[in-house]
Amino acid sequence: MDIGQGYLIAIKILVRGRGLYIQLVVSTLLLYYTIFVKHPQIVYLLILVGMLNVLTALLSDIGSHSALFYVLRICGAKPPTITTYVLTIAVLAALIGLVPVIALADFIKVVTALTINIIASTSLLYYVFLTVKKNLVLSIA
Amino acid sequence: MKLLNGALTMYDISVMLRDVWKSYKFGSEVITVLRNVNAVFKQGEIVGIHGPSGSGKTTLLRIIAGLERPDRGDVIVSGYNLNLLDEVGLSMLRNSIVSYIPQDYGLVETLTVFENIELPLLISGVGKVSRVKNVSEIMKYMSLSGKENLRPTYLSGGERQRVAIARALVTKPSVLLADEPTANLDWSNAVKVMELFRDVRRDFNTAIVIVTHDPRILEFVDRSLNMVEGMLKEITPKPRLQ
Repeated sequence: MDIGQGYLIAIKILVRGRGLYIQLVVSTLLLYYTIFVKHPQIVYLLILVGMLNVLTALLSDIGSHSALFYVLRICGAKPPTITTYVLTIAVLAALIGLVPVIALADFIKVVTALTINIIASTSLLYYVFLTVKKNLVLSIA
Repeated sequence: MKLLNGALTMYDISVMLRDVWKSYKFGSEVITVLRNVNAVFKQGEIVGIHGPSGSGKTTLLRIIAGLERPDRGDVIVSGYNLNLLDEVGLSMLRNSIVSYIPQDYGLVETLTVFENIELPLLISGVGKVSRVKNVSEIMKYMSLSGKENLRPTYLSGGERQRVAIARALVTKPSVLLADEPTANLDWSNAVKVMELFRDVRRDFNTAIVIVTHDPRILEFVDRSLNMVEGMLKEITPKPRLQ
């Protein structure tokens, strides 16, 4: 499976899940919120809420991600395929969660927020993958 | 090519297990799941492994599929010693030579029937035109035509099992491993699934290994093995069913 196909599967799972829509709704509300609330520190709140938004969105689709990791492992997906999938989901989720932050923050804060979101998302997805892999090994029957 | 005295050659053997042991450690306790397992599974035969829950049947299948490694012993699948393969090698084995059908079918609910079945081909980098052709052929063989765009949620238990089998067969594997394929089905659907395995054996010449706790399923296999406390013993040689 080349990188292109891993990317396409990730898009399908993302678009068909609930998480994307949760993220879009929350990001839109946060953007709307910034119109009415003017405070010098609000950008930090937006960064924090943005990260929680990303993690909530991923957790709401955790069943789909677990199922896909399970199947990819059974069907013989190589490690780079899993990595492509994880990074695609993590980057896209992080970018969507960043929308309200971009409206207010400077470049450094945006890049910092993006990096934190990607690290958090990737960590969560890899944790799920490792759990699936471990359960495939440890379930005795 | 077979020897004149009827002995098996390496060309006939799909899976060979030699002195396989497997244990798990839980804290200070060690549970031995497989004890000195020796077995040979041939091309074009259906082998049923019967045993109670916890006897090691699923662990055995997973070791043959390369999802787990034995503590001791050799597992040779289509000439490849799994102990000599790394993770990438084992992944390639699962993608092309061995197919594993888990007890819960392992379908992705977010993907359509077509997308579930094409996953192994997608993983191996097969082009779109070939994928569509191969998946359509296997769906027709499994009587799943017309259900391409449905999600697994909308399928019956028997249909979900057929999708899982279709996904396993789309790569035309040499070895098909099925973990309790009839456990979630009523008896009439279970019979249909077993008859499907017999068709697959005939049409694909695949070695099929089925684990089950239901002794009635053994009526449909060519050879039965009993697994008790990690040890495998032949039950009774059965005449090949037509």
